[in-house]
Amino acid sequence: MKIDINAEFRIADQKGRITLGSKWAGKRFAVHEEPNGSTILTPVVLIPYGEPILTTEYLQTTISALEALQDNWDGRGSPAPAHQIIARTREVLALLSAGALAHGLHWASPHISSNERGEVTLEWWQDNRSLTLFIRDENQVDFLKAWGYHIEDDMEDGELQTLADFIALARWLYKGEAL
Amino acid sequence: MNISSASPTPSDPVADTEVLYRAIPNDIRLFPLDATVSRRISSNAFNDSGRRPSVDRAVLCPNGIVETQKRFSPGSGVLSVVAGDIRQLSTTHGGTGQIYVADVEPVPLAINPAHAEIFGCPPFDTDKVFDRIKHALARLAVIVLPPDVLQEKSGSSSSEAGE
Repeated sequence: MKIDINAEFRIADQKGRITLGSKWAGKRFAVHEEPNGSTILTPVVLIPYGEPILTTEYLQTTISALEALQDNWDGRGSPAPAHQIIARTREVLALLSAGALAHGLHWASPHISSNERGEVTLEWWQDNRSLTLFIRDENQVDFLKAWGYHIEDDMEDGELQTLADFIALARWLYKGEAL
Repeated sequence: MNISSASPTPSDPVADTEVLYRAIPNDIRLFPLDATVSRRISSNAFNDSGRRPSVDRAVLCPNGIVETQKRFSPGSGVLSVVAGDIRQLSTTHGGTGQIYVADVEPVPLAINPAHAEIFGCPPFDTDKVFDRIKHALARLAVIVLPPDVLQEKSGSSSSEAGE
């Protein structure tokens, strides 16, 4: 049996069983046997039953709610989010959801709102930890994580530049990992 | 003999012990659910385009929180926060090193003598500084009068809580 996989592996014993490198630890694979006798292993992501996933219906409902906001929706003079920011929000939601699932992380739909600058905010809470993303414009997404009300000691902010940044933040939020 | 009034005048400084009311619209967007399906307060409850969130001084509201609610909008809710807690908030701008301190001062209006404003010294002049201040305020605040939208949902999921 031949194994066609783009990864380093070695034969572990005389029965042909193989050992993959540590980077594949915990991964699951779909197995496909070819007519020529070779076997293809394809890494797959298993979504636990009942895990909420981002659906088109959810996106549509969420985006429609944002589009329905009027200026001064909060009675504090806040402008409604601009069309470009709402469109960017849709993209960010889809990207982050897919990224979380691909890394085997829990995905919870964020609480979506808007601030006094018309930016869209995505907010998650876990115990005393909160993570807020600010869709500031088409090109900038910032984060603010907080674990108390002390502004210096209990908060940290920055720009979300890559999907890996969000994965690290999600791990901090849900698994208590340090950034 | 000096006789001091128990109730300050609208222009008197806000004492550290004073309770402040913040009206919040009847909108579920301001109350995120946490992982245990408890309601939290969103930092957007302190939205303010001038970066000076308005509050009412409880001591100048003889009819209590209902005064604040009625002045805002039907079905709205009310948060409370203590002035002394606000004054403990400070932050340093990462780029300039400028130290910002939060404070509250009376800004009495003809239609609302109890009106006061939370402000920064120096003024909150960057988005990120104000974002942090709002997050801190949301964590300090407690819901003293839930908006209608939360009362409607209370049978299914809410356990209103502040920090």
